[in-house]
Amino acid sequence: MKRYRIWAVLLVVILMGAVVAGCGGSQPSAGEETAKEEGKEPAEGEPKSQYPERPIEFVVPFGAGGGSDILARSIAKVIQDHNLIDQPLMVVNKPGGSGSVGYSYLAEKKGDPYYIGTVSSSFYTAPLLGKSPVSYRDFTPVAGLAMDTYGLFVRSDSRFDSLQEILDEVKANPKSISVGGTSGTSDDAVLTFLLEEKAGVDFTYVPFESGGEVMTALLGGHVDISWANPGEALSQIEAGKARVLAVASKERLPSLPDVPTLIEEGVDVSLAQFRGVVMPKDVPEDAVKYMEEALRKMSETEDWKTGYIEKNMITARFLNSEEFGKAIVELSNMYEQVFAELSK
Amino acid sequence: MGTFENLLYGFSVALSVTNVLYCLLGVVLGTIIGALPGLGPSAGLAILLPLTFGSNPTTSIIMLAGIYYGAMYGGAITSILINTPGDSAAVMTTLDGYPMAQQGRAGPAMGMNVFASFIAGTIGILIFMYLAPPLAKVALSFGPPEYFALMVLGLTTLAGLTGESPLKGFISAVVGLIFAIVGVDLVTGLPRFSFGVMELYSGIDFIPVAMGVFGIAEILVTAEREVRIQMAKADLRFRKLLPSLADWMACRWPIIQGTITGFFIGMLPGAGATIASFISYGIAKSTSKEPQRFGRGAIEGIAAPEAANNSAAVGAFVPLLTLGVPGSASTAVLMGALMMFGLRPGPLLFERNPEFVWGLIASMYIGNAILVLVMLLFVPVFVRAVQVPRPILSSVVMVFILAGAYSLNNNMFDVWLTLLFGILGYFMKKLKYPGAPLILALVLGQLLENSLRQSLILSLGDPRIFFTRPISGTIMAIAIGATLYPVIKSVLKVLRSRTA
Amino acid sequence: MRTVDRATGVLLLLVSVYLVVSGLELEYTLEDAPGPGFLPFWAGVILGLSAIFLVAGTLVQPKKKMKEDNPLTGRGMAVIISVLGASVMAVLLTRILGLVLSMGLLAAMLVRILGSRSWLTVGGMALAIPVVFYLLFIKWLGVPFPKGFLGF
Repeated sequence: MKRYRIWAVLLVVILMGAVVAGCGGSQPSAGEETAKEEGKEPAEGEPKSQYPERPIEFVVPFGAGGGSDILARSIAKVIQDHNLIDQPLMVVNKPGGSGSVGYSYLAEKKGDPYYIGTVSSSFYTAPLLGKSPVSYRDFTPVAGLAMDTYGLFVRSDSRFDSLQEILDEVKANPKSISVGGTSGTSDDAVLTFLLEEKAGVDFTYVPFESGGEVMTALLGGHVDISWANPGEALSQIEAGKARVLAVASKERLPSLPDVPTLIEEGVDVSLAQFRGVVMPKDVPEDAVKYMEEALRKMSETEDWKTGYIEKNMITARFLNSEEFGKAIVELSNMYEQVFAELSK
Repeated sequence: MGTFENLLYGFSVALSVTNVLYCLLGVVLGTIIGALPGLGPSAGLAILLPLTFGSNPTTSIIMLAGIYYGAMYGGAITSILINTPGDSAAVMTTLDGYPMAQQGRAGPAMGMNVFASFIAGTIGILIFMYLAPPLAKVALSFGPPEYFALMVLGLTTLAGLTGESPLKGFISAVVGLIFAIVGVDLVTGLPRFSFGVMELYSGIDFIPVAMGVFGIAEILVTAEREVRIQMAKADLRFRKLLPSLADWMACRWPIIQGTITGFFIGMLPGAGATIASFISYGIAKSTSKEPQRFGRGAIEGIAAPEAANNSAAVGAFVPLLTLGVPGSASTAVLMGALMMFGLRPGPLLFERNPEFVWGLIASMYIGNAILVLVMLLFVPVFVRAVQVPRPILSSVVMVFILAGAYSLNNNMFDVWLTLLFGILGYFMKKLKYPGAPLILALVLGQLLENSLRQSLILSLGDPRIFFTRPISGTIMAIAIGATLYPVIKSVLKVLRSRTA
Repeated sequence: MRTVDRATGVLLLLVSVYLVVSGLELEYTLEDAPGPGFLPFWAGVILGLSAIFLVAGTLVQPKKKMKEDNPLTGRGMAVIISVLGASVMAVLLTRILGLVLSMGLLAAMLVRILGSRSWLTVGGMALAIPVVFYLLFIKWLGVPFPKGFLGF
């Protein structure tokens, strides 16, 4: 029983520590109380509380290391480095269910402006495929930040020099060319499908777990062509390991001025995912305005332009809350059409 | 500049006061994250990433890499002491580590973990330094058929894990395979067997399964027994806490084998440290002269998988730094961090940022040395943890498991899942179904199915693809050989006894 | 063990039938390659065969060899149910108390259930666990745990 006594003494010591820690930790809880009041009309005489009064949770509906995660962490870093928001942005990964777990979690925080989240293509596609109970209607658009498009890549020693050569060969010999992508409902699958439709060809589509695996399969020669965000493949292009034959944007990318668009190559296909930030539904107007403004300032910093936009080879395009809301509806309708055709 | 000059240059970078301090901080945090059940290196890296904001890229990555390989050391601690793997790569270490602790040999078990990890980590860095670019080419030659063959080889290690009843071991594996099916189907992108539960779309993560089937089940089984658990009292003299000469002799080959197997599998994108530890354990057992000792407290059963997961952690840097392709969840976070600091991992990194690459390599030698010192210092403390009264130990373990399950995806669902698998694990233990085959099949199952289907899509349905490609054909031959070897051996025995 | 093995065998057989049926409902092949139903189908078949072997084994073996001791005792069940019950309750309480406090509560309940007679230990656990959790997970590592009404 002696051991128990030693434990008891130890616990008492820890308890002492708890009292000290407890005193220090009581402030945030007070802040939270006032924060909960925020959504309502401020009481008479009481000074209007200033958003934000406590840390803001930045929900990434995907695992660490992915495109959405890098976006969120870059935003948090630039905002912190430039002191654009008085409170820290805490990036929290809520992966699962192609983003639907994180989006549902965010949607549940109805009316609470202390939660924001990133938007990527599955924001539009998951609800359409019945994989997510929440859709864009359950969120308040805050700001659009960037357009990320796709490039069509081959290994540097590939026999293909243009999209046309690929299409000619696969037309003559259906299914002879394999395309690497990331699962049956991803953007690259949509692009492959659109390309097949418009050009009247038939590829062999091979799905992989992640963009990284697709790239290794391409470099290893296990698949003939693959789609990737230009930024993901930049280091391969620079090192001369891979070549990009076409991009899926509407106009040529400033960073890849020599690469034609699919449209120029005679296939009327374009696709880009709009990366941005949303809040739950029914949040106070001034909180949306505040966050929109902070993100606008952030998007104008040099750190953002060189550190995120240029490094990831994406197109910066700032949209305010209203414009972003419209863009979301348009994109969602576009995917709806594509999936309707896909399921035919 | 030769490799050696580069390394000296690297040390001049890594040995600055700031870098050494960050390295120390990284490996200590990594050990803790590794030891906490549930909280593994990838989640830990993401959580701790903000700590590095404001410091330069080299310093940051030195710390982050320290967290990654430090976790490989830490994961084994809880595996050995309380039968709960601290992270996924430490699952195999429970099989012999916990029996050793029960026999009062927690000290040597922990000591061997530290030394095997150190030796493998250091040799891994040497291999990385001299052979990274050619090895990257080997990694690239692995396509879907090769992965399929590798997974088949991994499954042959099942035979060594079945315990008392081979049939029950086999059933356990099939059940694991069934759990692997749950989730969104890679090819169609649509969910299977997920019953409309969103959290199941991404499949059943095997960490809640491992924590439930090993950790919670162990708590439940010991709770049931009135008697205080039959943990033999550990000899706490420092000399007795370290592996003996006999232990070292037994572990020579398993450590070397684990190092090579681990590095090779670790550098393949998509395989990683966990599978490396499985396969290395399997090889250690099947090449052992006394395979029956495995699972009952054989020290080689710790040395091989721990060597493998540490050199796999180094091997994972091959595709990350030379190809710019992350091979695992943890290295994906590292890659994200690098990009945030303005570095682009890829074929040109060695030329453009030598201070970074060589500073990192040098810091890994330093980090491994720090880890040995820190861990050996704490071995006596850890070993005493086993002497804590069982009710207290069990309750503490339970709350850490549940909190760890939450931190996995920041989701309550995983907590429920862990409890559920705890119940399953309890019944499995009671009815004598071994847990390891279930975990192995769950880990390998997803890759097995994916690579099978990818290969057959590529070959337009022709199964010869697995045998006509040289690498996959060779691995398949080894796998078939490994399956048939025991049969042939017994046939030969019979023949020999006849002729004699 | 015999009865229990037979019961699990029958249970596994039911699962295998379910798998085979739903495997066939999903596509068995998809464009020449195995489809989403391929693995469930075969896993079901293999599980079914193993279950049959398991049941057959209990029938074939002589009675003497298979001891008729039931590994699932009533007392065991009682302990298990209380441990799990406490855990479930604590997890449910996280919505109100937050993870840190409810885990402290759970640790206290468990240490009591698992046989500690000293109330000092019980109280100590209830305090020590939240403190350690707060300092380790929230303050130091910064894990985003669910918060309770007290704000942590």
